[in-house]
Amino acid sequence: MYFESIQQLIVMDGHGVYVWSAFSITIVVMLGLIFKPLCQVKQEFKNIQLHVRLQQVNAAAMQQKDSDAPHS
Amino acid sequence: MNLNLQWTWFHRLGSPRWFYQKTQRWLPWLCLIMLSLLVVGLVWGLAFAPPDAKQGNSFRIIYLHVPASVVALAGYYLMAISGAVGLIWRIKLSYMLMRSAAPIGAALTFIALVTGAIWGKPTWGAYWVWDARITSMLILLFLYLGVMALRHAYSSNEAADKASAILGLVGMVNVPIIYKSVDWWQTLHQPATIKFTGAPSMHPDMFMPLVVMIVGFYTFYAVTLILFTRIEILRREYRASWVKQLVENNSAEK
Repeated sequence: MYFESIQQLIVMDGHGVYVWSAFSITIVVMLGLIFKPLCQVKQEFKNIQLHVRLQQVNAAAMQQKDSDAPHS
Repeated sequence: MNLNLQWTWFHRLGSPRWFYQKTQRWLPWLCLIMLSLLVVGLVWGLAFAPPDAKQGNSFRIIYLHVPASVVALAGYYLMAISGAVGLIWRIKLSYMLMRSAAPIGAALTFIALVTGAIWGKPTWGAYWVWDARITSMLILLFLYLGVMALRHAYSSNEAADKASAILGLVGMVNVPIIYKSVDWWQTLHQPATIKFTGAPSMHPDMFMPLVVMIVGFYTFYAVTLILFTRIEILRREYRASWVKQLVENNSAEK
């Protein structure tokens, strides 16, 4: 390691505040980019499941209606 | 017949189902490569590389600033070309890639601007300067945001895709301006560290971690683009039988 101690690595001769704040912002944005779609996947799966169920309920209702209708 | 065979791969490449299934297998490997490169590059650059003779340790911001800028610019080409492919061949997947590339590109441009501003304070004495490179990067951010905003401006996906693709293509003129801005104008921003022709203006001890970080950021871009595109596929293809099957299998597994 270039620095002699962790303390020196953090302070970086007075430039630590710039380097570490740039580092923190970058990491937060990058983690956000990874986790946003990962959270959305669950929501999308739920939406699609709901859509499939609605379709099934509608289809069943239509079938029921057809069988209830008087035959001419 | 032969012509048909030649085009089969092209159409398969454009199939959302093919993309979704293939990337399922690629993702773990890509994540592993991405994590290794980013960890090695960051530790090497922040703790092991020697400081710059003039800028001191603040120069270490280069390991975040340059990779983010390089990938934000390359990502713009990818977004614009995907839009063009969508316009010409009407391939669904290319529009999905274009849509997904916009927020990632915007975030990377944001990182480039913020880290640049933070680096500017100890180096130039100011966070922000209306310099040619910085201003053209800010325009890049607005172009990315414009492509994102157009999605909500239209009620139909098709119209929004076309408008975004055209905006993306028009905005492409800005990318070479960004690249050449440091040569064309007398700017405060330093000239390019890495050149396509000629040796880099850095010592190998400083340059190698930068290369690792750039490759790491490209892998990160690939991972996030795949993740965002998979969401876009689910959103647009929810009526497809393979998506319904996928969701059913997923809920059965739970």
